[in-house]
Amino acid sequence: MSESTKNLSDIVTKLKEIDNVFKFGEKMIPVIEGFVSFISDFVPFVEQVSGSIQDSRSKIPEASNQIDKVTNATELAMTEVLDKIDEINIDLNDISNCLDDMVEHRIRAEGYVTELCKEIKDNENAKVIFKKLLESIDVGLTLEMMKNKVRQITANTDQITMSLQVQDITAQQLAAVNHLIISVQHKLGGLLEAFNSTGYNSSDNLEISKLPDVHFDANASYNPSSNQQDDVDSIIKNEKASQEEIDKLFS
Amino acid sequence: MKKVILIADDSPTIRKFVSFSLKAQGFDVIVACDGMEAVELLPTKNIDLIITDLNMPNMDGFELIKAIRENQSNKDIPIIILSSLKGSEEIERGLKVGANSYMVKPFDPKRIQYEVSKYIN
Repeated sequence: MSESTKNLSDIVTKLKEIDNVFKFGEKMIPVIEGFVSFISDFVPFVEQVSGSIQDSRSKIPEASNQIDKVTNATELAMTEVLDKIDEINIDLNDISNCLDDMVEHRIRAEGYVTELCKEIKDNENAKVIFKKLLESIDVGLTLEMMKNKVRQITANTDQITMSLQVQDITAQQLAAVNHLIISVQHKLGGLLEAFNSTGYNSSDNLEISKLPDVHFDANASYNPSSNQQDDVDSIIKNEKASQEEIDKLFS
Repeated sequence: MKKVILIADDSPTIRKFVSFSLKAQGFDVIVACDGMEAVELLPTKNIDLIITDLNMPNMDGFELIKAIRENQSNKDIPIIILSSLKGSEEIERGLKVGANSYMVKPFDPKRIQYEVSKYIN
C-alpha cells in the first residue's frame, strides 16, 4: 500500500470516529439538557436549604436564652421556697423549745401542788381542790402530742427539701440541652461556611455563640431512693491511692 | 467555737440545701460557687471540712481536691464529694485525688449530717 493510500485510510478512520462522537453527542444532548434542568431546579432548593439553615441558626440563640431564663427562674423560685422552709424550720425549732419549757413548768407546778397538799394536812376540801387543780394542769399528753406533730412537720420539711433537689437535676439536664443546641448552631455555621466557599453567598452574619464549657452531668437523674447512695458506699470501700496514682490522674 | 464547713457548688439551690442541713446542726457554713473561689476562701478562714461538687466551672471538684491536698496546711481537711455523678470511675477518681467520702445527689439531709459527724463534732 502506498503512503498516500495509507493516509487516506487514516483520514477515513478519523472521520468515522468524529461521526461517532457526533452521534454520541446527539444522544447525550437530552441527558445534558436534563442535567442542566436538574441543576436549574436544584439551585433554588439549595437556596431554600441555606435559608432554612440560616433561619434555624438565628433561632438557636433565642432558644438557648429561653432555656437559661427557665433555669434562672426556677432557681430563683426554689431559693425563695427554701428560704421559707428555713423560716418554718426555725419556727418549728422555737415551738419545740417552748414545748420543752412547758413540760418543765408543768412538772414544777405539779411539785408545788404536792408540797401545798402536804402543808394543808387537815383541810380535806383544799386537798380535793388541789387534786382537781393538779388534774387540770396535767397537759403532759397534749404536750407530747404537740411535740410529735412538730417532729412530723420537721420530717416533712426534710422530705420537701430532698424533693426540691429535683431543680438541681433539671438545671443540669437543661444545661445539657443548651449545650446540644449550641453545638447544632456550630454545625449549621459550618454548613453555611461550606455554602459560602462554593460561591453561594448567604446573608448570615450572625455570630456563633461560644460553645460553653461542660460543667454539668448530662445523665443527672432524680431518684431519691437510698439505693444510689448504697451503691456508692459499696464502691468506696477500701479506696486508697498513692501520690503517683494521683499525679497520673492529672497528667 | 463553731466548726466551719466550706461548700463548693455552682448550684445556688444545692448550696442552700446543704447550708440548711448543716446550720441546723450548729455549724458555720461558707459557700463558694466554684473550685477557684473555694481555693481563694481557704486561707481566709479556719475550715474544718469541705463539701464539694465535681462539675463546676473554672475549677472542677477534682482539681480543687488536688489543690487542697497539695497544700501542706490544708492536706488534712476532710473532704466530702457531693455530686450527681454516680459512675464508679468518678467515685474512684474522687477518692484517689484525696476525698474522704462520696455522696450522691439528691441527698438526704440526715445522711449528710451523719457523714459530716464522722469527721467533725
